[in-house]
Amino acid sequence: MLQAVVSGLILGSIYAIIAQGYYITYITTRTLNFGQGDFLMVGALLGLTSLGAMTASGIHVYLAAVLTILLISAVMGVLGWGLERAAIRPLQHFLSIGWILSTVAVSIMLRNIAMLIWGRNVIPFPSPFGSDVYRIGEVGITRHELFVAISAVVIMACLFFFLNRSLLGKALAAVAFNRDAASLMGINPQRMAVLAFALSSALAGIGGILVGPITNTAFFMGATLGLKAFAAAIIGGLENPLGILIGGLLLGVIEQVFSLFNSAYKDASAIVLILIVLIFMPQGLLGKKVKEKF
Amino acid sequence: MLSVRNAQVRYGMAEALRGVDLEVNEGEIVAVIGRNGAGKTTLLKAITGLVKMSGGEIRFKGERIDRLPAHEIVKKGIGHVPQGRQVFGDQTVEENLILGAYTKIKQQPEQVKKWMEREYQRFPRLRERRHQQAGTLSGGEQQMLALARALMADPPFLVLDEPSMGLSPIYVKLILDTVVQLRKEGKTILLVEQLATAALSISDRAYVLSSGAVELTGPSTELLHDEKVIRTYLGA
Repeated sequence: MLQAVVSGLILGSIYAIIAQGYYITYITTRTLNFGQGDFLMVGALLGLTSLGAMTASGIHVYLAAVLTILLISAVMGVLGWGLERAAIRPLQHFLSIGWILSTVAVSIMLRNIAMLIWGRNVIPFPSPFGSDVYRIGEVGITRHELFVAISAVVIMACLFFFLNRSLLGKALAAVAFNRDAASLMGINPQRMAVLAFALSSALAGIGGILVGPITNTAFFMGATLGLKAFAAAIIGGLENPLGILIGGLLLGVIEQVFSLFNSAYKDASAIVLILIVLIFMPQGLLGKKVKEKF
Repeated sequence: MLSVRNAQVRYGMAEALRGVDLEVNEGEIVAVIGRNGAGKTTLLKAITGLVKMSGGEIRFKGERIDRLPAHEIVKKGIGHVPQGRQVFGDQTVEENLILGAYTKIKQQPEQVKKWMEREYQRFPRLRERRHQQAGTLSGGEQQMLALARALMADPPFLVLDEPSMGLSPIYVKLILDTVVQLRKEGKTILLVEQLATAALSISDRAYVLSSGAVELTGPSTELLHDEKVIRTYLGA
């Protein structure tokens, strides 16, 4: 039981990282990348390839892991920029929900390109840290899980610092709150939208590298993971990063605990959780908004 | 300093501005008065780039600005205090002020600190509430914040959209006194107001807008005694 909670927390922290990507683009542009899951898949496969290449050329494992994360963030950032320019901005006249289809279209393209490059089969993603298991009492944690936990904490800390303390984060929040007023401050809302999508895609890519060794990688892996992360975002409240973190962890734990009894319940439990949250707290667990005064 | 020529704006089929001419010289306070829906706010939004014009041109210090996006126009030195204050309610007072200096803070961090100090001295209430979320401030305090935020980029030209809206008489007086004070500091001000008497008594010249066109213009003291203005706008 305790084991399930711990693995749940670790899986959940990955959901949370991916889901923060939904949050960032949603608050700045009121759009989301419905292909977030497939961006994650691209990150995972690219990460696998680059990690393989780096370790083969003799770079130390830890260094290779860090370099891969940086590299994948950069590549995915560029991909996110491209997505915003090609699939979001041209379709953003008012009343348009074209971006829903266009992001799905991009994701289908990515999925098929990935299939052409990496093939149809599930590719094992061996963790760069080997499969040693640390035992603390009853609970076993693999080195990779430890790595995931540390990365998740670092990434969340950086993200929260960026969003709440940096000037760029404040500008992002300002655009989210009131686009016109933000542009009167000299903030370029379009540049912020690009930044949001780049950041969101980078988070998906990092999520892919982290989740790869847990689930293994294949061109179709994105759909379920993207959906789970979306569920985490909805459960926590799409406009609250802390809520999303909690939502992700909660989802991960519930899944793992339910799969103790029957692994068929694993996915069902996630859906039931969403249903319950949507019925009783349609704004999500922490989804509150500051009221404007007039 | 600012000249608007034949400004036209349409919202779909509706014509919001039908060829407005307006001139603001350096050091002036110019008021724009008119009823609801006359096009006052639209005129200001056209000047600062929040709405696109369908015709006409706007020059600031001789340079055409009507094709620029809003965030570029700010950098030219026009501060816009929007109607309804539009402070960033989920950020603190101080964060709002920092965002006001967004265009300057990277190049001149020291200067921005001084300007923030200046605004805190102008509105001591804001200093008391600096760590409070802007959304929790009273309407009057939010108006002070909106004004201070616009001043954080130290713009020579200030556009104010109904700063008195929804405020108690004490705050109205405070805000209008501040406007007069700002002119003494060397700012040029374009003021849109519903409170016609107040606007005419602090401004040098005024334009009366009606259905998207200039109906009357002249020195404010003359307009204050104009039969037609008194009948329609001053309610006497």
